[in-house]
Amino acid sequence: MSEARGPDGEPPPDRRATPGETLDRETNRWRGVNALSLAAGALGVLLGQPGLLLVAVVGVAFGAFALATRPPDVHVELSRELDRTVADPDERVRVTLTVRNAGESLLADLRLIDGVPDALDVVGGSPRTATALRPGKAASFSYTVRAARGDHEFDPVTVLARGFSGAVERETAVHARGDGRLACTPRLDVGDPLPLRALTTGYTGRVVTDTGGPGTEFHAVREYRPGDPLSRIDWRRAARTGEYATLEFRRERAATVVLLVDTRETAYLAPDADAPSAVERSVAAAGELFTSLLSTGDRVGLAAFGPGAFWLAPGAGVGHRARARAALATDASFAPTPREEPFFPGLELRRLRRRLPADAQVVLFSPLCDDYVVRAARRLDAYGHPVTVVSPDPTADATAGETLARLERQLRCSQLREVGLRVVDWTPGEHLGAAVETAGARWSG
Amino acid sequence: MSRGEERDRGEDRPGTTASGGTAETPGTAGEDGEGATGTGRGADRPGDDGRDDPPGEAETVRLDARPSGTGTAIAGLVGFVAVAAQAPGGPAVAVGGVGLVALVGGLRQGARRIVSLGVLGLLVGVLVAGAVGLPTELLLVSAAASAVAWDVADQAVSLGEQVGRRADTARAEFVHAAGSALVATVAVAAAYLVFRTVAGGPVLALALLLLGAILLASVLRG
Repeated sequence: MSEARGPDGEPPPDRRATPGETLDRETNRWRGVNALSLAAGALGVLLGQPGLLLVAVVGVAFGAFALATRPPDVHVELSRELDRTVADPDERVRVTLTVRNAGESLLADLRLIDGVPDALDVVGGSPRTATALRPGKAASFSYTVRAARGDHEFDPVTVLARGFSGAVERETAVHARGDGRLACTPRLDVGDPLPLRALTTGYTGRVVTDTGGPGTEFHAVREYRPGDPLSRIDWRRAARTGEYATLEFRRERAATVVLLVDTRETAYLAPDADAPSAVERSVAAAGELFTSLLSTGDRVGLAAFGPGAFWLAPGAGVGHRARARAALATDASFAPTPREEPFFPGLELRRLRRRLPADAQVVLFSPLCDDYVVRAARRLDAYGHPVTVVSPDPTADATAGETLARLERQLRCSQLREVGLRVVDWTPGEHLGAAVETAGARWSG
Repeated sequence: MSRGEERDRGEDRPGTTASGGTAETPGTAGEDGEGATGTGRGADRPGDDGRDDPPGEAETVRLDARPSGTGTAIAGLVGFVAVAAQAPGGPAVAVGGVGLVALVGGLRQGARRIVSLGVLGLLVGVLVAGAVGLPTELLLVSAAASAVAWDVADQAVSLGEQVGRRADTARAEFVHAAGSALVATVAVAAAYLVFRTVAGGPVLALALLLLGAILLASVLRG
């Protein structure tokens, strides 16, 4: 406790106690009581009024009481109970916190603030309470949180205690026993397909290529070569002219797609306090796209461009889908709040390049609110991994600064389009399929 | 950029802060084009974030940092006792009454400064009443009630800041008010007892009593 002391040897007011540590702060709520008492006493002597002298005695008694009391000994046991520890998104979960005075003395003024995980919203009751507890007695209170995607751990409960006079406030933090985690794994819904870029594998799939072969969409007519399948010979022409010709269709191939979610701290942006952040929307969109691409026979991988650098190599199958679902729901790389870890984008980009299969194309989910991600997208595209950017728009236009940020983002979208990348500008509240449809109108091939 | 050091854990969502994002984040993309800050993992100074939103059914509940109704009611009641005791003091009751109004008004707003001014009004009322010669018993009751009113009001304000109006704080407030009333009773009883013992004696005796009390207080400080 030697570090971070204020001028009077007091811990600074914004410092929070860690479990096992106690911070004592003077509240100074009785400051001036002695001065006021002496003023009353002096007035009494001047005017010859004994009553005012007695008033001064009462005042000094309060001042002495405030000085005499020590900070209380805080020995509390806390236990937390959740009515379920695995919840669906948006489900209400009731949290009950029970506090027991395990010490020997009365706790006259005990204030508790539960460590609700950052990503959970309190929607009913209050995670805070104040009570008074005799030794051995217990009290409990409860509140309701709305579950959100992720694996959430409750922080220690902040405990603030004051004696009767309240002259000193003692702060400590206590780990609650019982339930400390809430896991919430959304289902992966099948979303609308995203038109893919023309980089394909040798497997048959749904991406229509520019090369001729078997397929459904007409591509070209060429001279007959021995060995061409009979079904593709243009028999009408053979009947008319006696020359054989072979019809070519556009080949339909499967693609390898890596869904890359921008999870850097700069991507945790939202248009207002209650709106989901861009990362939240990106993760939801990546989940939809993952299943829809798998169902059309493409090989899909998943990666995070941010601290933790999650990587799931492209694959297919039920197990692969389950792994992606678990990762998107609970992996720390996709957490609903940013991770406090250093991230070196340059290194990470190189590592990503080594990991990407040669025939992989990239779908990047990013709010495009800084210039680095634009360079990264262009670089990946230049290395031969065609990039489609799905960009959840986190900007607002209430202030001049916000309008500027919005314009800059639109400029970044244009820059990417100019160099041939596909950009889906996805405004809040819009269905992703509709945004893809709008953006797709300007794409060719 | 400072990263949400003051975020009230859990009670609010990542907020909007365009530039320099202070408290609740992740904000809107900021003016600098770097976007705004991330969601801070807030260490939580209870009460630094007094946003005041009406609760909706599914809406996120935010901290309402005003004092609870219980604390306001107790402080108002005790303050009323203080003013009522000043009633025979003529002009004193006017000063005290203004103080009481400020006290209750400050509590409803959660404004500590107005609450302090209100209590100061009550105390000035006590001084005026003493100067115009209010009976000693009433004067003592008024002074003790003013002190208790301050104690209860200040606790209500700090509970509002740290715990919020929505939480259940009645038990802590009643226990605290009872303790404060006990101290006031003991102090008044002791002072009055001494006053009756030296009744008719010189004011000097009382001044010496006050001196003794101050010496006691300074010893306790050491």
